[in-house]
Amino acid sequence: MSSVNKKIISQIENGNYAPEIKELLTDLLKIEAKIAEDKKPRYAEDYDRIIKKLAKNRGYTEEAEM
Amino acid sequence: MSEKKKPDRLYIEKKDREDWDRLKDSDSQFAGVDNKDIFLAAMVTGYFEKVEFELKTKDGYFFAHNLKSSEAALVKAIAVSKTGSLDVLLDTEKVYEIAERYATGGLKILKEKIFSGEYGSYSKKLEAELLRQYAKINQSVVTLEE
Amino acid sequence: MKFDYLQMKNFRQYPNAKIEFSQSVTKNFTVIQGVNGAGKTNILNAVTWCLFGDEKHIDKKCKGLPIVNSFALSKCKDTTCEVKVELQLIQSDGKRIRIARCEKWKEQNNNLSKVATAHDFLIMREIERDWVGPIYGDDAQYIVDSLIPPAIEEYFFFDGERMNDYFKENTGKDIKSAVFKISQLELCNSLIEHLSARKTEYLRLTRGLSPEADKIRDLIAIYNNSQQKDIEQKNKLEAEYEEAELHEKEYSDKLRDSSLENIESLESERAALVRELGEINGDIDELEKEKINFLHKNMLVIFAFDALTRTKSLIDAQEEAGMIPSPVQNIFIDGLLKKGECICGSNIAAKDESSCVRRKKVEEFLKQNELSEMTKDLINCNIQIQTMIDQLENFQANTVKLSKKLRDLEEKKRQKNRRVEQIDSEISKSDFEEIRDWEKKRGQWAEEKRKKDNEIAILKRQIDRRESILKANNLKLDQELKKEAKHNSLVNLRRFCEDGIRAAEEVRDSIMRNVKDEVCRKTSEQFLSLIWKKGVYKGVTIDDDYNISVLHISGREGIGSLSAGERQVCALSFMAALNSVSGFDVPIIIDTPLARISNVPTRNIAENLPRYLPNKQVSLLVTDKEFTSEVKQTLNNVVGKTYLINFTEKDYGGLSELVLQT
Repeated sequence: MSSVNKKIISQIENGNYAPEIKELLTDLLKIEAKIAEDKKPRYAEDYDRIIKKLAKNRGYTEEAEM
Repeated sequence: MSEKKKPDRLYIEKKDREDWDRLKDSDSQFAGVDNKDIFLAAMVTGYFEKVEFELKTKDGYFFAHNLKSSEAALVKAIAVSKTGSLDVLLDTEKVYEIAERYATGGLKILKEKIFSGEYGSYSKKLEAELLRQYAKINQSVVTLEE
Repeated sequence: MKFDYLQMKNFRQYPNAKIEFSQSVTKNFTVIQGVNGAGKTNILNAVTWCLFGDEKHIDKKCKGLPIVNSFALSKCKDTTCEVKVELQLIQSDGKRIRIARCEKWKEQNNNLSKVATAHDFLIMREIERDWVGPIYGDDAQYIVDSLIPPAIEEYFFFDGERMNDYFKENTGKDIKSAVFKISQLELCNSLIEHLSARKTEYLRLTRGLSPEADKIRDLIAIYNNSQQKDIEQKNKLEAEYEEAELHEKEYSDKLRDSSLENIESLESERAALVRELGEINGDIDELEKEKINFLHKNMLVIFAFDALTRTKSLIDAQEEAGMIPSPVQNIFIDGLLKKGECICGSNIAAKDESSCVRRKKVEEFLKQNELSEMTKDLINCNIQIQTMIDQLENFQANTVKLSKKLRDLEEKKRQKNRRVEQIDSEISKSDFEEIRDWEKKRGQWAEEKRKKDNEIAILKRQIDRRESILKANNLKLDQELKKEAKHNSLVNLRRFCEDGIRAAEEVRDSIMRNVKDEVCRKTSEQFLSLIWKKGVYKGVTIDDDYNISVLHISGREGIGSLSAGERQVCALSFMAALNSVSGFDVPIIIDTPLARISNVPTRNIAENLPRYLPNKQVSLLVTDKEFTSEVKQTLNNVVGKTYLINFTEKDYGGLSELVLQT
């Protein structure tokens, strides 16, 4: 079962997070599920690829309090 | 972004950031309180104890638009009292600068009061001080009316 | 996921048997009926043995017997006899997985021994339309474990007769960890761990590029190390606290359940007082917070009072001098325009020329008297200052009121504490040595609990404080690194990871809370509907550590006084709740679900069970005593297939065969 529990996905989608963060968590969880199924120990490559792609698109917003 | 003539935020002294954060720790009487409210408390404390410090390196602390009308009036009143004239209200930068100086002065006093004594003593001492001042206020109002 | 079929060859009393489970969505129950000893539980064992290599529900009388069927063995003189169980699953996407486990046995000179076999466990997977594999050994086991984690198999394949021991054996921690696993939250933990590792790596890559940043980084590492140690120590203390609490409760229960009436009532009174003291402490904390917030709010006005009055005086003076017009007249004129009628009564809204001229004059007048921004600001400021001063009026009265409330609560607390001390003293002076001994031990554990609680509180404050320092230093580090443009991207990646970690932690904690609350609610709902003694129990609660309590209508903990049948219902309700909220799609097998339950309630359970396990493939292993005509009738709409186990006694053991009933 390489799919992630629907409850977790739904919690992320309905949470108050930036779109990039939502995408980050969903994509990384899929990797985790795949690792669990395929017993793949090396995750760094896939992690770096997704983190760098989404961080590039991410803009900073000023906080109300600093 | 801030304009030179009308600043959009109030500042603290950069090197005091840790002390401001300390006031928000879970063992402080200001735990869970936001930056604006701690600033105002420090500001009135500094004004009351007549302690103020100039800011050398500024660090943004909260946006001015977060001030409620009553809080904005309080900040203005402090500036007016300091300068003795309503004209200071034409210069928002000056108004905030005065508030920031008193807040910087009040910060140290607050920190000392909250963390030096035994737990619970700050609240008791604050209550006693406020009741004392309140009595003085009432007395002066009665005198005026007479 | 569903079971497609289970095939057993020479497994226990089954020389050759196959169950094809019902695949219907509406008739999702498969019933396998057999008398006691016919081999129902061994069907469950066949499933777990095939999946995990372990007969997790082995009966005491079967434990010593070889897994290989005796009849088959007797026919295999001097040759090996193979035991094989094959289980085929259908995943939610329709793809099948076939799991097979086998063992070879040989009997020589009256010695029975297992023969080493290569590839005794394998899986085949359907991908597209082809079968891929076989995958052997540990790799195969890993795949199976990810489908049905062995740690939680007992929540899907459960033994009805063992249910009543469930709450005796399992601690809250086991259940909590099961919920964690069943909700796949270990994926979240893994994500957090790996994301943290990437974050550390991005940080490591900045090393050597800024000496100041390196200094701060080293400091952060030291703080992190201390933080980790303190957190571990706090966890250790919390575990010790729980243990002390358990022991304290043990002796409290002994005292309460003692046959001595006065001791029982004193202990009950003390327990009630302790509960009340907990509530009072909560009330005191809340009131203290309310008071300090009140003082801080009024402090702003009191400390700045002379500034407020001075400013007000200056504004009032300007108003008196006519330099600040009253805002009233502009509001009034604006109102006239809106109304369409001048103060003299003439119409200024109509379209005719004279009305328009009149209207224009009023509008010009309004424009000429429009207030400047500065004037509006002064007027508003004055109003605000007056309001603040007015609100101060009741400061003293309200302060006194709050202080009195606090004092009253403190007094109440003192009185209750005094009474608790009196009870401690009375019980410890009992004429009975056993009572004095229990009281002494209870007191020691209570004291131990208090010590741990204090140490935990100190550590928590330390941890919180250090967290603030770490946050400040991390901010300093980022600022330092940002000075070098080339560090920016690494800083951004690090921050992104931090935000991701925070979000993942929130998601994990939120799901854990929601799952717990939902499990609690459903368990309570199901228990109350399944239990036959209506009006005796209030419900079921589950605390943060997943300790289950059944609340008696009197408010007392009732789990200790449940009958075996009632405990079975409670455990069944909990399992069903766990299944329905888990999000895990594993079929359920229940062995003798109605064993300890008498006739009337069984109909109730039979009616409700399908409701609590909707859309799940459920297999029931039942005796003829359980599967009465009434139960059969009740489950008729949901049972897709029924098998009968025909068991025949033989000299060398027994033989069972499965017969599908039409």
